[in-house]
Amino acid sequence: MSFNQINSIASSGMAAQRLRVQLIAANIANSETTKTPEGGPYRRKDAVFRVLPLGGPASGPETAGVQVSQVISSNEPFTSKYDPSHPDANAEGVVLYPNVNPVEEMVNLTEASRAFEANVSVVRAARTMALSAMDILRVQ
Amino acid sequence: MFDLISANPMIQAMDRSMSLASRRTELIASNLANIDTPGYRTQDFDFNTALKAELDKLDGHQAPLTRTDPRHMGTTSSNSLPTTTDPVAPAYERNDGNDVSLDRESMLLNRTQMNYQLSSNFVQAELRKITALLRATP
Repeated sequence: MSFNQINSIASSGMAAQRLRVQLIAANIANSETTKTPEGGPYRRKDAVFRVLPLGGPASGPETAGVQVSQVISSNEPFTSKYDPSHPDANAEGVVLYPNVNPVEEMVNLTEASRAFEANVSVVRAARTMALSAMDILRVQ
Repeated sequence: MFDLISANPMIQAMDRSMSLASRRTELIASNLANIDTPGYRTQDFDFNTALKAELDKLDGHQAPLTRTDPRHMGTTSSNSLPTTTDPVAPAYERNDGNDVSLDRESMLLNRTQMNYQLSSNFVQAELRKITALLRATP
């Protein structure tokens, strides 16, 4: 049934954007974390999106959902700060801070929430359409 | 008597129109879900041409073609949809190869939704007429 298909596409989009917001939250929360279990300061994380093909009609344009194929850690250089009293400072007294840029995170957050809203509006539209189809049954 | 409903040209036409509208909504949902997927291209079809083709088939405007030779090409199946004549402007393409435009898709979503509601209202009006007719019959 077509409306179920529409809803599952939109929910795949919402799930992907939600995971992205989760990673952005982690990035912002850890923007000053100098020590992680893996060693070294926190690395900025980002989600990689891939098309999730859904079985549809054999011909014509294809419908597809979206999925997060992997979460990557950024390899950008860390920012360094001179602070000899810090417990994570190296021999020269330099502390490495995460490669998280708060401005970049805020821009990504806005983008992710707009994309999420777009998917919500699809769900709303599908709902209105389904209701108007059901209205056909109410013939007096 | 049930030809009033099953063979009703208005209901049949609106049925086709609603199917195409929901198919298009599926594609809009795909486009919006993949708005941040690198390399994704906007998927769409030409609604007017598709609807016209469906209606032509309905009215029997096109003589049914019979295959008398296996080498004959088949007529278009009901599943094939015409490619869009309203391409996404190349300016929308971002440097990750994705060309989904939020404005275009939102606008199309609204338009498709209105198309669908219009069609379903037409069906409802037609059914009301038939019910009224049945009531008037003694």
